[in-house]
Amino acid sequence: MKSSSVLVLSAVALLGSHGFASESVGQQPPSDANIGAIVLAANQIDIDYGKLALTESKNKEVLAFAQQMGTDHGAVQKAVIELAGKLQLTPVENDTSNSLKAKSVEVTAKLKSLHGKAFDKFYIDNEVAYHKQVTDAIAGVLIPNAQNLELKAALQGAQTLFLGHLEHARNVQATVDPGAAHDAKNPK
Amino acid sequence: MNATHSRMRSVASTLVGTAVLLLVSCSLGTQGPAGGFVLAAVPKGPQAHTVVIREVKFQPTVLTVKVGDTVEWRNDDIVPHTATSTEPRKFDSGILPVGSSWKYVVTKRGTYFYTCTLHPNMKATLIVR
Repeated sequence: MKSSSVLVLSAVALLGSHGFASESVGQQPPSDANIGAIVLAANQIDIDYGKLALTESKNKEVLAFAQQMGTDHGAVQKAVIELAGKLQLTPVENDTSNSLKAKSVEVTAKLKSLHGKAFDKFYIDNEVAYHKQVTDAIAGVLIPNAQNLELKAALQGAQTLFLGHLEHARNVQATVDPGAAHDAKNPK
Repeated sequence: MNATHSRMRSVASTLVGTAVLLLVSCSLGTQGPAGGFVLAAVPKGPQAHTVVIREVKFQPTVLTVKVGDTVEWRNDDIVPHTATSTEPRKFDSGILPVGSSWKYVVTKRGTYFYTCTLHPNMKATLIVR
């Protein structure tokens, strides 16, 4: 096998189902500029999922959650852009940010193909999985690699907020899809 | 007792009296802006308390108040929150937009665990005595 193929396969193996690098072994650690691009991409993706939910769902809990995602991730997005300006940090796209966007295209296509309860179930299941991966990546990859202390502190603040979203998403999941919520808490 | 001795006793008792007054003032007072002590009223009536919401946390996380006191939750964070008691279910601020606040007059003794329904990892306690 050619060495370039091995590298590509290694990179793919390191990406989680939502496009996050699950570990940094064999990968270049992200720079602060890379981290900026990853956070901006991750926020925008969830804002866009929320917009789809607001037009499609009829479920009160799902609608409230989607509205909140738009508000909260929008506020974080604004804070990240302000911080990047202050630190004169120009976000630089990278494998993780590109992979996140590529994966979101698939998820968006799936969301657009679903309606009613099937949409609600897929949306909220995806929100639980997505926030789990985002928070794992922030804790395991982004915070440890952030060099600037203000950026590190901002990531820690965002982490607390996103862990709140994860718990809220699980609460909504329990009302939309009790079976999935039960399975998540009691894996077989 | 001669006149000099009597004057000395009078000065001494004045000094002691002043010291006692100062001690009382200090124990009841708070430090004013100029660094001197300012007499504060002894708490008698209902008090006002503030819980600040910032960085996805209620601060303080445990607040002890008395029946009749008012608690104000002020949202100084960058996202909306709620202050909602879960056990027992007694109060709910509804959604508090950024920069807003909500006041609640406590009417019953007890320990109230509360959360933000939007971010359930935010947990705090209100103790009413």
